Amino acid sequence: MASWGNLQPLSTELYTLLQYGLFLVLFFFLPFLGVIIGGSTVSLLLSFLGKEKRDPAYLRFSKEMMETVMTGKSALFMFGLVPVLLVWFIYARIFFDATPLPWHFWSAVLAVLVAGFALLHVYRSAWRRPPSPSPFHVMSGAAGLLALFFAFFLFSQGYGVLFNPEKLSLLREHIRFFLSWNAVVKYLLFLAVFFGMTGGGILLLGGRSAEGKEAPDASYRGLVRDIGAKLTFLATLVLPVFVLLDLVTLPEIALSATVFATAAIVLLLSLAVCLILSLPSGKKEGGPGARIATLYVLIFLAVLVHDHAAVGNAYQDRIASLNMQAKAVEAEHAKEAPREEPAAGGKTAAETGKAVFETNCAGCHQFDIRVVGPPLNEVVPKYAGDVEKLKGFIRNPVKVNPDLPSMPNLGLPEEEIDAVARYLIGRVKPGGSP
Amino acid sequence: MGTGEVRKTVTLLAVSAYFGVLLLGTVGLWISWHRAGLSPDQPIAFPHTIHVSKLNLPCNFCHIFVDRSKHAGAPPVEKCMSCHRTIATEREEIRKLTRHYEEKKPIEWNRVYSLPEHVYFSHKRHVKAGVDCKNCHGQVGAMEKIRRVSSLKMGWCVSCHRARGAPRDCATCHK
Repeated sequence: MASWGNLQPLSTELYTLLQYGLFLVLFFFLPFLGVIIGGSTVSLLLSFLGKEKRDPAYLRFSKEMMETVMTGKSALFMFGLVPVLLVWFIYARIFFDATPLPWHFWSAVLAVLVAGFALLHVYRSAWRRPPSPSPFHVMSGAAGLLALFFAFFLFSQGYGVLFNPEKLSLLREHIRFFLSWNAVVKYLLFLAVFFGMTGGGILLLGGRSAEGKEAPDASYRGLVRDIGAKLTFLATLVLPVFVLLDLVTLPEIALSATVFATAAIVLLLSLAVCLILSLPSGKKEGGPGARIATLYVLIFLAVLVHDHAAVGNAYQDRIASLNMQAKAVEAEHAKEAPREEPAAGGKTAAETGKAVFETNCAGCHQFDIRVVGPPLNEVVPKYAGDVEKLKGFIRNPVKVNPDLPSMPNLGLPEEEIDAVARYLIGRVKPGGSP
Repeated sequence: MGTGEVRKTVTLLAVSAYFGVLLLGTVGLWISWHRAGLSPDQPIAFPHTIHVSKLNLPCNFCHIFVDRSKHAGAPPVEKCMSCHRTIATEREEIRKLTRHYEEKKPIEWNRVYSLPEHVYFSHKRHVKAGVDCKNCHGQVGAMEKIRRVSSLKMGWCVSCHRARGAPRDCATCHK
């Protein structure tokens, strides 16, 4: 049955914590994966170009690139795989009472990621034997890179589900609903950010040898900076197109002033990056690397804030509903605690019944006059002392008098229904006077 | 020297123009979204939160035609007054309601969900088929001010019809 009811009431604090948890996990995971994807692409292209042009500088940079982005196995595990598990947990806990993305989906993402990392690792290790990796190793690198592209595509589609709650109920029945244009746009948008970030990183750090010393060869440094600048410039030109397409493809309810404002900020920051790169770099040492890298950190943050706001809007009513349910549960707990006291203190059944009446019924009913509902002195005698019959009516009210609005079902617990029914029967005597 | 300068200026202008167009696009989308009005202001600030969540009134307590007609219907002012003759009468919004009642002037609610004329839609059919109100209208009980949560686009209708095995021939919705 398609319904998005039955939400688990979460406390407001836990909800907020999980929502920010997602933000934090993505903040570490995406740049890590992004630099690996960007760096590997650059390295593979350069190793190919280097062989074509027989230019050792290309091969040297290709090797450096790979050694920088493919860190140790433990880092790959911590920043490349664990975050996927965390996102899985957060999805399952916050947004869906029963996650519509089954474990198969997340396992597939993990498996493809592991395969990609392993293949890229094979490619990286090939660089230890100079002068350049064999075709087998290059193929393995290319396969690894494709695997990462595919894994990230799957991840983006899962991520895209967050922005379109309209699809949730459908998703439970047909997994194919999980593909969306918005998620495709987001995938391309993140890839543009990844390549821009990689370019920024090359501008900042590139041209140094692995030991961290400045490379002595000025022409090599020039080549590296040129590659970094071109990569960043191209990625930054493409990025805003996807930002705009994202606004077009996001469902209306995910939009808000914040979402548009953050999109505009991404555009302005991208403009700044392009302007810095198209201005002459000057002869001074250092170049635009630091500024570009800082701007890219800001772009990435703005994109995350943009998405965070969009998810918040899309789920606004669900979040509010969860909060209300959580408050109701808290109030219920608070009510239960003092309720035990009267039993110990010997509060009589009549007193309980009176209390229930004052809280739940007195708004609409009085004994002698009509308020919203009829005067009780007129209607209670119809039950002729039959407590069970009156309880039945309170439990499930039906319209009796067409001139009056029907009584809502108050959803009282059974013991309160019992107490108030006994109180009313006891107070209104069959004769009609209290 | 001169050509270098010219080229630099042209690049800067081209980049600025390109981003300028995209920024204009963003502002345009912003304005069109703002005009779409997912949550229009209403003549009386009716809170569904109190009536649905606090009082547990079922939807058809007020939307009385939902299981009998194409339209769910806004309740007649008398329906509101049956309770509000005595409840919360001191509140400004209830005073507005009372004025409508006394002047025999219907409340002109602003539509939140509307379909184009070429679409035939019946609430009755959907309620009878067991579609929960929440499926299309979201968590109304948590909305202080009502907000449209569904796109009401054809793809959305068809996806659900397909998922539930409901009829999908054109004449179902386009009479």
